[in-house]
Amino acid sequence: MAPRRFAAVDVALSWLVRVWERMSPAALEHRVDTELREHREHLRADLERAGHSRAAARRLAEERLGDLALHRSASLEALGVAARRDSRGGDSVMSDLATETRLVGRSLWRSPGYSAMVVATLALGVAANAAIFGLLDAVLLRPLPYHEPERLVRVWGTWGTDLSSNSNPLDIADWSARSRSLEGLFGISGGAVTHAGADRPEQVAAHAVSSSWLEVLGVSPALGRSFTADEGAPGRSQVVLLEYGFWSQELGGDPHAVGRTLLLNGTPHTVVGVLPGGFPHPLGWQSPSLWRPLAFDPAKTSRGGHFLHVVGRLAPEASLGAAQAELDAITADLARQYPDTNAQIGARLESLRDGVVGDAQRTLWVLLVAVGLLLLVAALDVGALSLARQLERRHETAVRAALGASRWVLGRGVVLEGLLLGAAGGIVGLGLAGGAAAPVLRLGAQRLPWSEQARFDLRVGLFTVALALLAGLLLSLPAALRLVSPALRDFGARGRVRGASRLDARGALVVAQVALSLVLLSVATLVGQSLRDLLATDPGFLARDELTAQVTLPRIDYDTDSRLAFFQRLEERLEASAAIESVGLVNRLPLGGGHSCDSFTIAELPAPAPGQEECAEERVVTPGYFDALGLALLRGRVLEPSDRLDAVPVVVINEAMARRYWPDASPVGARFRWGGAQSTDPWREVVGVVGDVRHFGLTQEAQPEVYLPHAQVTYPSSFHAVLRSDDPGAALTILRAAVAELDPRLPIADVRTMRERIAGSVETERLRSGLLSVFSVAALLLTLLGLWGVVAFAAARRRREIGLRVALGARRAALLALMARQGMQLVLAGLALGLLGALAARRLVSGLLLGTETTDPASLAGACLLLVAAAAAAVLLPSLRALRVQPAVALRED
Amino acid sequence: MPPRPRKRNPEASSPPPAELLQGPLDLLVLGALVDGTEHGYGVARRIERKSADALRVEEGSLYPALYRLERQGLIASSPGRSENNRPARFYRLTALGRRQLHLRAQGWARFVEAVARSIRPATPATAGSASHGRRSES
Repeated sequence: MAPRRFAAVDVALSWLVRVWERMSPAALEHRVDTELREHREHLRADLERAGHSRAAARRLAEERLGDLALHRSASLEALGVAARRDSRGGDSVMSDLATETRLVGRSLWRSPGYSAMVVATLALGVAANAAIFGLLDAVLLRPLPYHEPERLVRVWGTWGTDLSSNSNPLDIADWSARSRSLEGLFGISGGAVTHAGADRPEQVAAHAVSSSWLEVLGVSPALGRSFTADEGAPGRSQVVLLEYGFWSQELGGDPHAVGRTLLLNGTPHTVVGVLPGGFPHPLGWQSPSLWRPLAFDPAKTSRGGHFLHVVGRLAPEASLGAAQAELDAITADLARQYPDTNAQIGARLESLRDGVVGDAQRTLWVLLVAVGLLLLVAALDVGALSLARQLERRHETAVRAALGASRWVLGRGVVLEGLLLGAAGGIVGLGLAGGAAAPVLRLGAQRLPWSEQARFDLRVGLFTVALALLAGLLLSLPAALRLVSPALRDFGARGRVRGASRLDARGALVVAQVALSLVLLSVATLVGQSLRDLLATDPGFLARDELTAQVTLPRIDYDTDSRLAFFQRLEERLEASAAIESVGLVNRLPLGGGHSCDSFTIAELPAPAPGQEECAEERVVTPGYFDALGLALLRGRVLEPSDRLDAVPVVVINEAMARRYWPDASPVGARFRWGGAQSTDPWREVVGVVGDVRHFGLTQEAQPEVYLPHAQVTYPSSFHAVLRSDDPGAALTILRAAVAELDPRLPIADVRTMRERIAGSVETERLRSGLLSVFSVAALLLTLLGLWGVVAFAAARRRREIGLRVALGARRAALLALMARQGMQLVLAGLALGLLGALAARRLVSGLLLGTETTDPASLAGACLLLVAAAAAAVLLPSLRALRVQPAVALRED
Repeated sequence: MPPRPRKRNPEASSPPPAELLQGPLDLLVLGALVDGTEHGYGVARRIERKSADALRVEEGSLYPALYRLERQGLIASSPGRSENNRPARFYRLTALGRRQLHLRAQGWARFVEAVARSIRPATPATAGSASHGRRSES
């Protein structure tokens, strides 16, 4: 008995060996020789053990085996192989294969048109797959370059029903101190500073982090050190870590950068270190140029402000569930300890990857499946080509079969050919993906977290090559299976094979292609429809070419009064310009992100219970803002220039707020102030209601918002100017000139039109829709190519028949219908099959789409119509060409 | 040599008449494998043992028989290692082979009986009853 191994492995191995033996005469010879040799050895050993001398044992063994040459040739005959004169077994299997590979390669070389077509088709499909896989790998699969990244977690603050909110620095410190299953926690907040650059001041992103952040991530700086604990204290925090790119560009990669001073917001900051290249932002955001310590004074910080994003590291043995349970207990304790601020505060843990990537996971998998389907369509296309090629070579095949090549050997040749073509397609596709597809994709995918980590390396390369070989195998299967099937005898018997069955095989491939294309098309139209719906959402403002740009004043040079004076003068100058229709300033732009929710009190309504306060978003605006952005006035009035510091304090609220707190009455005249019962904020009169603005994204419902006149608040140091004009370029020039005139040191940042902002807010949706469209159109084109080939082939086969019919007076229209019918039958069969797949696929992607009916029949019908129309062209054109034949010519042929 | 279509079901041509029986070697091989999986050398030893050394085949001729039976689907083989850890091929009876063994054994018995009868002096009574008995049995 054979020693027991894993049964499944055994079965698989012996199956492979058997398949191989069937396809290789050399392997069969090897088998026979081995068995006879082993038999003799076994016999000899047994005889020796029975007491015979060595020589006697050998002689006896030979005797009992009989005429070896005779048995060998009889064995081979029994196995269906003719014995070859030269056979030494062993390595002849490999040399056999090498010879055959050379032969196949040469034959491909001799038909460059076919080979190029197949390689190009496969390369396109493979390149698209490699690019998408590279992206998915970076975002979802590849471990992040942190120490043991699987232990990192995203900690979300929860506030009542809001499960993804930010957190308070004091809370974070308490969580970190009390939790034992969390090894460390750190907070991040975004932000920007003015950097006095070489030629002109510029605003650069600078994110603030708890000083322990690099220890928690387990990353060492490339140069210098991380922040020390005391650098989190106010007054000691004028230190920065540089991002690798910023270091190499702005500081010329200075190896002695540590200790140098940068002028940020007018204050000198010391460089303490440089981060390693390719350091990913822990939250998957675009990496900032600078990292600053998060400075706060525990004594002066309230527990009410929630502005930090939190990342933590699980202790080595801790599970996510245990850490969550522990954190729940800690937040419950804190809620008892600080009922005023922490009653509704909780914390929620997710693995860092899940927490950061979120919904994008599904998008990426959908894209990978879509691009896989595209490759399948491509492989089917070249499968049909390969069938046609085998048909062309039927005489050669018949001759080889007659000379004794078994059908397994013939089939093996076809498979080898497919693998060679697949390998070539893989290599070309790899170049294509690395050179063009992946970089373009990365550019489009900047909104996806960690997409900058996408690299074209061995991993992606192996994936690509494996995929290409698989595609090669797939493409050769239809032709190989037909060769292996017993019907092959037709080759030898008639020399001329019946076309019908071959057309059936190609027809089946076309049906599959049509079905797959419909699936892709229907998903692409659905996703496209959802993008159009999204863009058709009323954002609440007139999205035109208003230019928006941010101007920030350094706090050190400007106090509240001079800030007000600066922005008032800036607005006056801009208003004076004839090219600008209207001007407004706002501290937070719609779609600009960022919460600024604060609790408030309304004099006419009962005060909420402590810990149950709700919040409203604060917008500080100049009176011109409403007109510049085109907000709808629903009640009362908007803010006026007369709403100055010495006038009655007023606010304008949005519709969402009015509906929530005054569902039946008019809010105009009501009194509002920030803060709770003990607030020192003055009462402000509600003077008007304006329409809702989708501040947090087109898919997000509006939150309650309060607009305050800029003259009646503690003045912000940063404003976005909104300039309405016919020419955004001219408006930018005017803005630059106006700012430079007032203070030449000030940078202008974040310059974009509102239209661009809307487009930017749906970038991920746009990428998804764009890629799916490209894939489905490519699949459609490949399908049309396959369809065209089948119809043209059928037409060519019927040339004589057509000529005869025309000569006998058949009407061309009737003949056209006859020929088109066959092609359209394939299309309709594919359509029917594809509809089933399309319905299932649409259900699968429905989770990606907000607000679009997934059963939306219009877009499905659209996809079907497009497919049928394109297919009709691919059927009719070759048919028409065939009909143009001169009867006399066609009849004389052959 | 043009490829032959494999004959998938030898059973379809129902009980072989005694005079068309293939060589007894095939039957011996099937009979040896009915006791379980074995490699070629082991098959030779089993035949020897089961026949109590009365039958000795020319051992080299086992292999064409094994291959023929394998191609007919009566036995199947898979590569493995022998008990002294040498490369070996293990053969086993397929379900089809088991049924064939049964049929062929019956055929062989009829053949032996027919031969035995044909070399005895003719006595019509015994011949008639014997053949009648067999027919009613099947």
